[in-house]
Amino acid sequence: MLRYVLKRLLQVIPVLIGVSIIVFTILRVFSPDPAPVVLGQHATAEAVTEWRNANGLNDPLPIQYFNFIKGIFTGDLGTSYYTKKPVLDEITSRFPATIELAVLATIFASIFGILIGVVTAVKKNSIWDNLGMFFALIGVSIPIFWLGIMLIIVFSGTLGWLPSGQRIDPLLRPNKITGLYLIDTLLKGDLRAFKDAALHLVLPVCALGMYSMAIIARMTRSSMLETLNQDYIRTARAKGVIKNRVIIHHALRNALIPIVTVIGLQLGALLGGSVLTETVFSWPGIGSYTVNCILKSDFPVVQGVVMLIAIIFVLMNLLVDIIYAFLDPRIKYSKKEG
Amino acid sequence: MEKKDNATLSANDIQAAAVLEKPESQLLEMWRTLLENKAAVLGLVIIVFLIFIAVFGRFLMPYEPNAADMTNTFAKPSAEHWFGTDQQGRDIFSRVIDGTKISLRVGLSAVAIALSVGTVLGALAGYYGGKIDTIIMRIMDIMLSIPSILLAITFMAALGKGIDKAIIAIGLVSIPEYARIVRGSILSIKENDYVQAAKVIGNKDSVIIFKHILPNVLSSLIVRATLGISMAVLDTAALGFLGLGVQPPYAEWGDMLGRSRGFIFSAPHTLIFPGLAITITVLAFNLLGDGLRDAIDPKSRK
Repeated sequence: MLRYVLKRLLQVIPVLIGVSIIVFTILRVFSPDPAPVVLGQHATAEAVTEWRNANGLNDPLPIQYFNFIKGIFTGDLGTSYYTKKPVLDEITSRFPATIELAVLATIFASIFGILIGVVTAVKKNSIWDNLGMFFALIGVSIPIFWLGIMLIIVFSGTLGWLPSGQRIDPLLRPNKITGLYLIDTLLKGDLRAFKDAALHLVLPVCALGMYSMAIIARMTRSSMLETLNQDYIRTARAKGVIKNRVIIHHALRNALIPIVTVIGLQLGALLGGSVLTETVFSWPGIGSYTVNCILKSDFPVVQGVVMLIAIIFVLMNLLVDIIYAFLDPRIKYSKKEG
Repeated sequence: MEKKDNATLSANDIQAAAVLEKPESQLLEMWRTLLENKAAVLGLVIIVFLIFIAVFGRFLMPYEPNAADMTNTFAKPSAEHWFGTDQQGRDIFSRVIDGTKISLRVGLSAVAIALSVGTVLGALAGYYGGKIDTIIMRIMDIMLSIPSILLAITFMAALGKGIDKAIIAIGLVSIPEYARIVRGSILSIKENDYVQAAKVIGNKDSVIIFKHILPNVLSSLIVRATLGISMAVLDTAALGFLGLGVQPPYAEWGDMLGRSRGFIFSAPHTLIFPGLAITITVLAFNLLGDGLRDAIDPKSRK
C-alpha cells in the first residue's frame, strides 16, 4: 500500500510542473502587457519600463519561469501589482472563505445526492424515480450563477428569509482563528454570530452544491441499480433481512466505491464553480478575487491561485485513488502483481 | 501468386465489410432507439426549435435588440414588451431571441474545435503509442487538472474578450475529453483482425485511422459532443456573466445576466428570462445526449 501511495505521489510531480508551464505560458508569454492596464493608458514610456523592471517582466522568460518556480517552493509568489502585498498573503486571507463554502457544498451535495440516488434506484420507475431524476437533470442544466440569482430573488428579495451576500454581519465578525467562521464563532462561544454565519452560507452552498448533487445522484442511482441486481442482495432478501438493512448495509456499501470517486472529483468542479458563486454572492473568497485580478491583469495573483487550485485538485485525485485502493482491495493486489 | 491474390481478396472483403456494415447500421440503429425515447425526442424538438429561432430570429423580434430607449427603462413584462425592458430600455424578449444565435454559434464552434483537435490528438496517441502517446496524454492530464472554467478564464485573460476568443478558450479546455475517448477506443480496436488486415495490404496509417478505426468511435463521439455542446453553452454564459466573454453590442445571455445583476431587487424580471433561455438550451442538449448514450449503450438504459 505504501509503495502504491509513493508511486502515485511521484506521478503528481510532472503534472504539477506541466501545470506551472501552462499557466506561465498563458499569462506571461501570450497575454498582453499588463503595464498599460495597471499604470493607466497615459503612463509614460519610462514609467512603463521602470514598472516592468521592478516587477521582473523585462527579465528573459526562462529566468522569469525559474523565479516563479522558486517562489512556489519558498512561498514567495510575488506581489500583487495593485495592493503591493505578497500574493501568498492575498490568497491565504481569502482562502478560508472559499474552503468553508466548498466543503459545505460537498457535504450538502453528497448527502442529498446519495439520498436521491438511493431512493430513485430502490423505487425504480416510480413517480419518485422520475421526479428525482428530473430534479437531477435540472441540476446539471441550470447555470450556477443563475441559480444563485434566482435563490436570492426568492429567499432574500421576496421572502426576506436569508441574506443575499457576504459571509456575516460585519458587527458580528469573529477574530481570525481558523478563518472558517462557523468554527471561529463556535470556539468563541458566540452563538448569535454562528447563526448569522450559518444563515449567510445557506444560499451559496445550495447554489454551488446543486450541480455536484445532481452528478452524485445520477452516479448513485446507476451504481445502486447495478448492485441491487447482484446475487448476494437476492440472497440477503431471501434470508429475510429487513429491506432497509439490505439497502444500506448490503447494497449501498458496495455501490459506494464509484460514488466516492465522483465525490472526490467534484471538488475540482466546486473550486471552479466557486468563481461564479462567489461573484453572485459577493463572497470574499479567492474565486471572486481571481476574476477581479484577471479583469485588472494582476497576473502574479492569478498565477498563484491557479497553481494552488491545481495542486489541491491533483492531491484530491490522489486521495481518491488511495481511498479507492482501500475500499477495493483488488486494485491493491493488481498493483502488487504488476 | 494465386495464393497471394486470395489473401488480398479476403483482406479487401474484410475491409469492405467493416466499412459497409459497421458504422452506418450502428448509427441507424442508434437513431431508431433514440426515437423511442420520449425525453430524447423532447430534447431534439427543443433543439430544432432553437435552431429555427437562431436562423429566423430577426423576423420574430418585435424590436431592434440593441435599440436603447432611456424613457422606458426597467418596464415590467407586458403585452408590449413580453419580457419587459432592461436598464437601457431595450426589449428583453428581442434580446433573448438574438442571444440564441450567439449561444448556439459559440457552443457548436467550440465543440467543433475540441472535437477535431481532440480526435486527431487522441488518434495519434492511441495509434502510435510510445512517446507520442505519453507526451500527448500527459498534456491532456495537465489540462484536466485545472478546473475547466478556471482554465477558460485564464485563456480569456491572454486572448482578450470577444466572441471568437470565447469560442477558442472554451474549445481548448474541452480538447482532453475527446482525446481520451478516441485514444481509448483506438487502443481497443487497433488489434482487431480487420485493422491488422488493412495494415497488411499496405494502407496508409491515415487511411486506417480515418476509414477503418474512427467510424467505430463515431457513436461515442456523437454522444460526447452533444453533451459537450451543453457544457459549452454553460461556459459561454459563465464567461459572459463574469464580463470576460462576448462583448456588447451582441446580446449574449450570460452577459445580459452579468450586466443586470446590480438590479436584482429593483428589477428581477431582467434576470429571469436570459437565465431561463440558458437552462432550456442546456437541458435540451443534455436530454438528447443522455438519450443518445442510452441508445448506443443498452446497459445504461433504464
